[in-house]
Amino acid sequence: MSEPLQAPNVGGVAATDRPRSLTDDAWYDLRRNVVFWIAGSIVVLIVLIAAFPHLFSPIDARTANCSLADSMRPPAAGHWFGFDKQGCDVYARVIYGARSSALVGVFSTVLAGVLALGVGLIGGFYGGWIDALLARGVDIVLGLPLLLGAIVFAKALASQDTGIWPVVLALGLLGWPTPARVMRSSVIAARQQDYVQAARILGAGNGRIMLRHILPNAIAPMIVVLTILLGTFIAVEATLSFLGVGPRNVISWGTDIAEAQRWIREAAHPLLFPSGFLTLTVLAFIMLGDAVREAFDPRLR
Amino acid sequence: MSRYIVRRLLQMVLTFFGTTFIVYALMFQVADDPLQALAGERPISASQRAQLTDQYHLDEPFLVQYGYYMRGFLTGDLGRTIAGRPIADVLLEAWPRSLQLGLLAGAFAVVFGVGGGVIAGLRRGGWFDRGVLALTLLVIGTPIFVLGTVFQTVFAGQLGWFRPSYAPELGLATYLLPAIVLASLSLATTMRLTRTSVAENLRADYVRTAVSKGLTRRRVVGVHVLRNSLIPVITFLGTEIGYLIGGAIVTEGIFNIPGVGGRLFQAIRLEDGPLVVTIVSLLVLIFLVASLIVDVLYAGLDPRIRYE
Amino acid sequence: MTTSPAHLLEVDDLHVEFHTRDGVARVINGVSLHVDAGETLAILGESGSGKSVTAQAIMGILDMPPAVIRSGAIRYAGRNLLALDDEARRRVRGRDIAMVFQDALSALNPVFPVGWQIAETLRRRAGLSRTEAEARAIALMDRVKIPAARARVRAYPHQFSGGMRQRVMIAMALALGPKILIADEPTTALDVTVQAQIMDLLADLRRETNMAVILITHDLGVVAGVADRIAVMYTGRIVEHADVFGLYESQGHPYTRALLESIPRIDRGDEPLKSIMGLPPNLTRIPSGCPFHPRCYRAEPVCAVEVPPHIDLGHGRTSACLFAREVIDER
Repeated sequence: MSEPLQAPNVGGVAATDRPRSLTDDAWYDLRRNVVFWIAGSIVVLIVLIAAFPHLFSPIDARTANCSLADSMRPPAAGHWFGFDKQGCDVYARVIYGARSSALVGVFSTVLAGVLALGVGLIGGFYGGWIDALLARGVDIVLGLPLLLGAIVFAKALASQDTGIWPVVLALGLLGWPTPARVMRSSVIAARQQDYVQAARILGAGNGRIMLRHILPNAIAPMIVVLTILLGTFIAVEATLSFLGVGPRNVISWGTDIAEAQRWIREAAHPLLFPSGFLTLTVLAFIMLGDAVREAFDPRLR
Repeated sequence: MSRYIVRRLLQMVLTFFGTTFIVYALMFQVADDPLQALAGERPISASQRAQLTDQYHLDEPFLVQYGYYMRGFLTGDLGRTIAGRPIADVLLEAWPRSLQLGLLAGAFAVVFGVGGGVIAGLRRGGWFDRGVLALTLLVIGTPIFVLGTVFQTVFAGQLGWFRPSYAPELGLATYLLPAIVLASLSLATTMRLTRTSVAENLRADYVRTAVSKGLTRRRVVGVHVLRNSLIPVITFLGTEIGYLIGGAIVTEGIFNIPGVGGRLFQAIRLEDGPLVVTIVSLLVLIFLVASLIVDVLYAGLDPRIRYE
Repeated sequence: MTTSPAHLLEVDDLHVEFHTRDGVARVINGVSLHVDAGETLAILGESGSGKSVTAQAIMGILDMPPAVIRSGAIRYAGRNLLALDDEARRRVRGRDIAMVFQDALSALNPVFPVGWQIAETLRRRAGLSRTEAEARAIALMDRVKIPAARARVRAYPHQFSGGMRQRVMIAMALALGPKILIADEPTTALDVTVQAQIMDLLADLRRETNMAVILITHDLGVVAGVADRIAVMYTGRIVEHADVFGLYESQGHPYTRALLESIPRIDRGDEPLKSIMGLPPNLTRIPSGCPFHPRCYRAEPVCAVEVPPHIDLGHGRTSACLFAREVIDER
């Protein structure tokens, strides 16, 4: 529906030869969006920190000798974030702690994404009783609020040496419904397009249509949701660590924050720095996903 | 409309059994030694084993175990904690505290979230709007336990405006700070959603029609725009109930409130299997019922849904 | 514009601009028109010609930034609407001048029943009670020929067909008994047969109530059976104005002529379809002189320099073409 209250028909024909697609328009908007660049840079930075912590911190937090003599010392030269209760260098722990958050975030998102892709694609494409069945599955998993379910899952699946995997499984197995629904909607929309008909007439089978034609066109909204979900997962992982059911035997922002909270009366810096990094990371993913979604939303044109 | 309600009710029942089944399976089957899981990290004797096996029907097929458990749950026999205390007693005591916390938090989220969102949406681009966007973004990015910890430190510890922990003698007031913390994420997202919804609806064609009918601006916004704008917000509030339930665990933990969430927090720490499973099942039930109510409300507001 | 008794509605040399990112778009450039009780004036033009903006300016529902009314007057029963304050302007809407929009599905509020929406102005502005207002709404629905009105008064817009929805909008506009009805492309979103029904309805209503009707459209076919006079708009100005029979018989402006010739005709067999070459101009960069000259089949060098005045061709016909007299005599 046209918007007569806007300036009507101001522009003439576009100057470029080929008509601009939605992706072109979106990328154009995205490029000029300050938020996109800032959030994107932070994400890249965090990924680098997680992958190459030794580049950012001279002290290896995993093998550091924490001396109780340093307990709760404030920030100083060479130890920019000060020391925690155990006498460990907070900066090193924050840098090395990024890895568990990043890994959990990435792996759980990938797991949720794969499941969501499968369920959304199959349910949306075939419809009928398959879709109804899968929709019931979605309902059941959604019946468990995320944090609640994650606590139960992580606790049940954990034992001494399992590291990050219980949490990854917990988040992935609980987080797939929402992206699945998004995928399903776009698959249903794509399924009704003319190019699908055309492909069928040319003899393409269901599998080929699903993978070559529908999937590429339907996947974008789900990717946006997954980006935002990644941020959420990082937050939930930290919360699980805070509650004591997070990954065992790894350095994690959540556990550090939990520990720091117990000794908050003595000093605030062991709490502030991991909290700040955590918030920044979560925000970066959420804003990135938001920026991409706005750029691709045809209604806001 | 009634057909819709019936349909949703059936869905709810199915979902409830499906979800609790998964929880039950996790707690009692995934562990290598379910008896050990029940007892936590304490070693158990042979006679304790026998007694637990009998009590929980562990020698029978899994589905039967689940059946016993469900029957007990639905008839009010909630079993006992590891320590032997009737779970029903524990919950009866904890329940009113969580209810007060939850309702207060819900009220904050709705009143300030919707109110602030409407104002921001009406004055899009203004200073209030920008402030709202920035602040809500910050709140959304901050995990609730960080927010709770920081608020507790600043507002209760340093400024002394609130007590840092649960103080029953204060009555409802003791839940103020925890409720603010609990409501924070919902409030922020509600505010943003309302703002966007209002801003979008202000540009809708039916607004133009209403204006051309000669209605006052107040009526156009207060009746026409608002009614349409609130629809997505209400749906969203329904999903937020799940978040409130999860968040209550953290909030009650931080502020030492012995409510349902606090008990769950403890139960997890102490590895009290039966208590964990029962509380989770209860919370799932509450969540599903609340979602049902919200869905029905949504259908009531948006007539296009009813006829699907 | 004339010294004879005031017209019911008179637009006098209106200029409206839109301030956009790409510059200032001059959307209305000196539009003057009038309409009296019992008359139907059709405003004809392509998208971007400014016809909808004219209607919205009359109703006073333009978004005031980015729109700016540069100059001109809009007189209703002698009073200049543009000089009124917001509250006075609001009172004119619905009561004296009412408007019907193009897409009834989006123009009606989806969450309220149609009867409620029709009755709303009666409740809020005429002080009727709920029951009285609903009864009047049913009567109005009957009048616009919506079958089973009593049963459907509580139904929602999405439960009606396109044609029925349009009737609901008309009923809504008529509620307070306006003297002028502006219909902005009322049938564009409808099937051809339904279009005819709606246009017949409008003609009937006009006869019953002696309303003035301003019909805005781009469709020449719709205009023929209903209008008394036609004002053809291009790039924000009226390029030709004539009574309907005269216009179809001979045209005094190349644009009007080209429009009429572009209608496909069954009796012309295998002739190639004629279209107007080029595109409507960018409103931030309107061509100098006569704005139509880049697309005109008989443009001459002087057309790029001089802005044509409105040339009086007699019998109430005017044309804004330097060569109007020649054009009107062409075949």
